[in-house]
Amino acid sequence: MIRRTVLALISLMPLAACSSNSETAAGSTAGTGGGSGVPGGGVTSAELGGPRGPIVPGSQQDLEVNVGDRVFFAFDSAALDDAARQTLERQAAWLKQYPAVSVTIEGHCDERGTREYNLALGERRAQAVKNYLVALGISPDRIRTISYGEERPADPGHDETAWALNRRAVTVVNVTG
Amino acid sequence: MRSRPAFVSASVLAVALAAIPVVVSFAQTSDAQRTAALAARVLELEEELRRLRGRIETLEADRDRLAARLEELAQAVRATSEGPATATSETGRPPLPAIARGSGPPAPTAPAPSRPPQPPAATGRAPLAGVEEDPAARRGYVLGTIPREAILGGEPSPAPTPPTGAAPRPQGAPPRGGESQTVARAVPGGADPNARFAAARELLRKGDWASAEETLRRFVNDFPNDPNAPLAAYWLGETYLVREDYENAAATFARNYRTFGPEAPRAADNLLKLGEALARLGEKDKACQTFTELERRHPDASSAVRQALARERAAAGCR
Amino acid sequence: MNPSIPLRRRALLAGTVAFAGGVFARRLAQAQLHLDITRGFVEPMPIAVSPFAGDGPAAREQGEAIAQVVSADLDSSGLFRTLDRRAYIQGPEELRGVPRFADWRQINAQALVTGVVRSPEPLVVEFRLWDVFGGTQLRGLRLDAPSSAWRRVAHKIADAVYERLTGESGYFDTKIAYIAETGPATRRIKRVAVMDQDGANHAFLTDGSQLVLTPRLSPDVTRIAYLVFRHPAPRVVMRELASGREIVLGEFPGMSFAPRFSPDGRSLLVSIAQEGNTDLFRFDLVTRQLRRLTDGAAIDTSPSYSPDGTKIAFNSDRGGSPQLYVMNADGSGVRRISFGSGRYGEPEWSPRGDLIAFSKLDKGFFHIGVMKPDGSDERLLTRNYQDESPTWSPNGRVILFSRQDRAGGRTRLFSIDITGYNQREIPTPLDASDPNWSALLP
Repeated sequence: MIRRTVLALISLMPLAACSSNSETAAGSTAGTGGGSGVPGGGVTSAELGGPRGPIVPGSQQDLEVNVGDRVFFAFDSAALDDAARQTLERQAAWLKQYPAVSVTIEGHCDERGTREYNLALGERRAQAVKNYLVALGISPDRIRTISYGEERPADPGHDETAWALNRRAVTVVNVTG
Repeated sequence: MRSRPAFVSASVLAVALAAIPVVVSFAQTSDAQRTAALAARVLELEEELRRLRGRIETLEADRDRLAARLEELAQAVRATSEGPATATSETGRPPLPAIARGSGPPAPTAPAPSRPPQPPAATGRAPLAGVEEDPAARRGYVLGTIPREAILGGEPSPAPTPPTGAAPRPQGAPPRGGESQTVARAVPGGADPNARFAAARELLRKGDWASAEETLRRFVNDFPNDPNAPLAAYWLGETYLVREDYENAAATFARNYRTFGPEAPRAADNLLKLGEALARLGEKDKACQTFTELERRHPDASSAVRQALARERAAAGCR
Repeated sequence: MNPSIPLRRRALLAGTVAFAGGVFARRLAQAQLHLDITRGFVEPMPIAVSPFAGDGPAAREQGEAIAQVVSADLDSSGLFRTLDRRAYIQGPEELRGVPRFADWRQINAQALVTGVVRSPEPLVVEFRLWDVFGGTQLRGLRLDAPSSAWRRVAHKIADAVYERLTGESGYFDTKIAYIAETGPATRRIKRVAVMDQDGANHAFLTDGSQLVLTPRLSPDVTRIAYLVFRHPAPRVVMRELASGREIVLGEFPGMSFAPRFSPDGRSLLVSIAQEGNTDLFRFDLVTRQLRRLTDGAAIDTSPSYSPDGTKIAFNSDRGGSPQLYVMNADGSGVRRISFGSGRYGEPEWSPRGDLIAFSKLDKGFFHIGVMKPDGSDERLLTRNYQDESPTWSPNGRVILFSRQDRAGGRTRLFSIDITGYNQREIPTPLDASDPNWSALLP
């Protein structure tokens, strides 16, 4: 139950980031108040972009913010639940939109397993995502997989919340050139 | 749309043609979604298949253990029934229910000890009861602390053929052969050791601990070299233990081990019970030392003893 | 009645102790001085290790250092307690001949180690082990080595003492390979490191630029295999320890990981993950042939050869959760051996062949445990937030493992006797995981 809530929150995060981005971008900074401390002096203003700058279409940030770059798994499972499938369907549509983009699926695990078993489990998760994307019409040549096992947690914590965030497969846009 | 007449303008045709791939692409997507769903389904089926295989593995392991246990029981039954009629009738079957402890019902005539010598949950066995105890069997605990011969009346008593795997005779004990010829006349206090031993067992069976204690003590005194002496001495200790007289119990088990040595029947049991009694006396360190000594000296002790050892160790809080 | 109880109890306890004493007396009579280590808890044997005498100041200094290493080795086993040398009556130079046993009995030393450094370079050392109460020499040995190897000389002496007094071969002249860790959990830097069993002669084999895991030393301790995250896929690589040279293994399909040497050092087991499925393969290091050992839609990894090379224990989730299995070395005759509660992993076959160590996650805790190769007699030795990666001392008496505490999150190495006693931390300069204990050095 708790885990579901957490995951629900997580899946909302990209949207939240998105809306805050556009808000900051839209609302221009009207002035700096007594910032310069020079009364009657020239007050200049400049538009601020999003915290990370403009989103390049077809980039990792685009995928992360507008599509969702990751799916989550239950403990010791590589099964794709409904939320995961929806994310992957969006990813597939996005990949069709940017046919030049190739990606690597990184499979990850929480720390509650042996290192070697988790390497295998991470690979199984990455492969599950790849298979789903391929079935949705993405060429397998565009998708590499790698497993990091438990070596690269997204959340360094040691509780169920952290573990749920760490049991994931992340779609990463390959940087070419 | 595509049924428009041929005179339609080229631009319109272009739009129409452009629409076709769109339609096809939609059809593909819907197919693709079905394929994707199938891919995901395969994954789920694989997981389900593994779970089922796991169930089979566990069930097979349980079955094998049960089969082995049944075979053991069958052998023990054979060994007992092949013994002379006198022995069978005197020892009775199932024998010593009063000592059998654990999940089985308490002995009818037992003076209801407030604490049974063994906690019932882990290993205690009335005959066969443990076999059905799945969680225990899953952990590999099948036999309880009661040795097989006690469960089935295969106590190496006057029977000429000891049950398979019976412990070797203690050193210095007279050979067993020919003793079965002695027809037991159940005269307690008489000169016939077999009859005396049988009488003691009968008292144990009835749960008459005080009389059993007396009879067993006299048996050990009168026939120190009888093959049954180590067993009598062991059961003597049990009469104290069951009545929570831990000091006499400990003294008896310790003496038994010294007297009969590590090769005698029930040697490991004596150490186990010594440790248990010491633990009850609050002598934790000594108890733990004894358990350690048991482990060291009897690495091949029956699994029943080893399981009981693990439990008693934990109960005593041995590190 | 009441006053008599303590008396009876005392008598009874005296009896118990006497029975134990009798046992020891008999053993002593049989085998002079002998320490039985199959018991769980042993009162450590008091032993005196005299600084070694030396022919000249440099030799004496060397003799002093060697004696210190010998003492530390023996103490670390938990089976010996070296006596404070300030209590020693006879000095090193007096001990070139037969000791005055009475002096050593007086401080209750049961055994005495003496020695002479004949030459510091090249190092020539003679040592003797004495039974103080028996008044006899139990062992005498002369060792020759370059002076740079003086710690190995000391470890070999400690091994000789251990072996003579316990009847088991020692484990002091050994190395430990492990993964040294630094940095935040999300961007951990890992390096392959090798050190002596006591932490000395520590060296990094990789620079941390690539993620590395699970080092395994070859049986002759000349090579090391480990996993490195390298493009295009993580893979097993092998290096020569002395030169650091990488030995090319050829291309494996997919990700290869979990390397394990066969007992004869001739082949390497690897796990290969392809299409979401992980199987065990044997790579012949001589013919360079790759042979599949397992198949099927399941994870098969963490293999471990039996010491005779005829069987392989491994970890598989073919039954729905990670469990332990044993099969013949050619992949036939697979049998599950773990049936307890919880999830098992990392089976490690004891060098004696009698036990398989493993890690297990059960009810939120990790354990290091041992069971017989048929799966019976499971015994858990530890319980912690995360205990992992058991590896055996070459004599099959001690298990080394890595432990992560939840609180600090530090990951460290610990050792524990298979009796469940004598748990000790093996200090490392950085965080440490994935230990692998070598065989006795050749």
